[in-house]
Amino acid sequence: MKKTISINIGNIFFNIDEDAFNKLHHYLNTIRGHFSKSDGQEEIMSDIESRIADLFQQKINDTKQVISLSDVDDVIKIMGKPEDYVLDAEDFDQGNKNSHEQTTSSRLRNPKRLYRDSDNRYVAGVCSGIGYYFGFDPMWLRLAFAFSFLFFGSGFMIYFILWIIVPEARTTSEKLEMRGEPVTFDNIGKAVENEMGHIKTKLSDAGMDFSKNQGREFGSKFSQFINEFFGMLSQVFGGLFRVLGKIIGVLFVFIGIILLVSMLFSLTTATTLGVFNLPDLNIQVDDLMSLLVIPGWIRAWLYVSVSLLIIIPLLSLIYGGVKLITGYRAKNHIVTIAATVIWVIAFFFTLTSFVTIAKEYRQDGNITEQVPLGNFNSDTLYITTSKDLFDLDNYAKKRFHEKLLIKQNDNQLIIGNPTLSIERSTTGEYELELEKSSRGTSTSTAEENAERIQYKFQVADSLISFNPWFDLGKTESYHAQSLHIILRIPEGKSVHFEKDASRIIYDVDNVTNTRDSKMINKTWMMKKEGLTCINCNNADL
Amino acid sequence: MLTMNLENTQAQMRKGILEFCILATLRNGEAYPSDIIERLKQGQLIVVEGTLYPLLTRLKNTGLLTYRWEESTSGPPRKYYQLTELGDRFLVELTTTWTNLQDAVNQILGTYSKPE
Repeated sequence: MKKTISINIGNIFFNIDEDAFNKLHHYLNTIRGHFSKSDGQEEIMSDIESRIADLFQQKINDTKQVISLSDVDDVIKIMGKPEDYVLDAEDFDQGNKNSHEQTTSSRLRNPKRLYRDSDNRYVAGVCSGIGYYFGFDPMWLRLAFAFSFLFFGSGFMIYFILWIIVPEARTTSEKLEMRGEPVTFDNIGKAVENEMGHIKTKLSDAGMDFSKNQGREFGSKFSQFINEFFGMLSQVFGGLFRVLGKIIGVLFVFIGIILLVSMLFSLTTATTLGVFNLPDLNIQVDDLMSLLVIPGWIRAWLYVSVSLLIIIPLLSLIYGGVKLITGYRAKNHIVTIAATVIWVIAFFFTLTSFVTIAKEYRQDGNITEQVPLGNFNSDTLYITTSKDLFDLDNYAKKRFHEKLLIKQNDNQLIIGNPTLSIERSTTGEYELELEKSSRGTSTSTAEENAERIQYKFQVADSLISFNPWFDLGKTESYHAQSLHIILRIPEGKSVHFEKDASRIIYDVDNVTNTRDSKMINKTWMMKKEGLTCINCNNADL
Repeated sequence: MLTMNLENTQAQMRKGILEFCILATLRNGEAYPSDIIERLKQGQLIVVEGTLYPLLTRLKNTGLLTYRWEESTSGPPRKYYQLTELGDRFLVELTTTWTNLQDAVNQILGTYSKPE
């Protein structure tokens, strides 16, 4: 079954076989090319089309509804070859007539003319046209031009000039002249056959509109050249961008895959995100995350969200790269839209989660506990730290914002280093004050959090053993808790820092501005002007 | 080469009198292109229809012909051509010219009808 096309000729609709249509279309275009507007082209063409419609009407009947190729042949036989349409000989000599007639006249004298061959062009068809004219393979000429482009650039100018002055072969008769074949209907028919595929693609562009003006005026040659030139430029740049696009595409895919693989690798094999750098075994990101005040299920979704936040852009990078390389265009955008929606959801989920977490650290809360020490017989207090309560070597541990997360089996707790400073007592007694501070959603919750800080120390005679750690309890969340110990000494009394005290003393004020580490193993007396070393030589300070 | 020149010359001769003949076919009243073609075909003056349409348009544009539309039962509406007043006078002038030419040609043919 042949493909049929519906056409409108002389305001009457016909169904016509595709091959018949192609022949008819080309026939009409060739005829149209023989007339200029001043001849009354539109009127002549509509008369001819009316007549053809008339003839077609006689061809069809109840049993035969489709115009076939042989019908078109019959009509062409009746109507005549395109050259029969040419007006009488006088017209050839009239200078104001269009170039189609001029070429027809020169055709009689010289069967071959130089045209640009736009059907087989690389740039504008100059080389192909010259090849036809002189009868050699245009490839050599192209090579010569390409060569001269490279070394002298002069080829560019020559080509440019030829492009401007040599007309393009448009009509079939012009194309035949270009090839040096006699312009008869048979040859036109042959040329039509040859160009069938070419025309088909053009037809899809041109549609079925027969009245579309195909016989362009040569008077507008310059503007036509400009059009062609910029069309060419856009082709050249389009080509460059396509090449560049492919290179970028390869780069996209390469980078995307490397990042994706390294991320999946760190997720699956290390069980910890590489970026967090957690060397201690058994302490995983989730252990740190579990210290944050968010429910476990949110935490799980948060991991998914963060992963999607990273993976989706990487996948789209790869996808975009593949599209650049292959020129593939998705028929629908469901995947893209879905990925975008998921990414946005993940983004907002992550954002709200972080905001929720951040709220827990919004307000500061302090609690001060006075701890009675009683009186000491000695005028000097000895300060040291007790042995670690925790045998830390047997724990997995991780420094986390100046706290230590320790974990053994399933138990984990956060412990922190308290700090000790020495101040002057105004009551004449030794005093000990614990300043517990924490953060929370409000001042009161922050204070509640602070209250739960547990701390122990021992007093034996005049020796105070401070625990080097305070702890937050087993179920406590991380709220940036801290503990500061203030030991107040009355004037005239002294403190002696034992060696282990170095673990706890922190920026102890003294008159000589001696650093904490140099205050160790020395005795310091609270004098009127401040804490003063009483067994130091100048070199020690 | 002879054939080609002969055909060419014949074509030129026919073309030269074609406009005259078209006007002549309309002498007795209006006609539509197919009628005109039929009459011209009989005299071998025209072989294919395509030649006629540009000529009709040109004669119309120079004011020698005019036309009216008429609906057709079997196809698109048809143009019926007829001579204008100017066309009538033009035809009379051309007829005189043709008669003179005919005489002249015949005389020449008679004189040189039997070359050695």
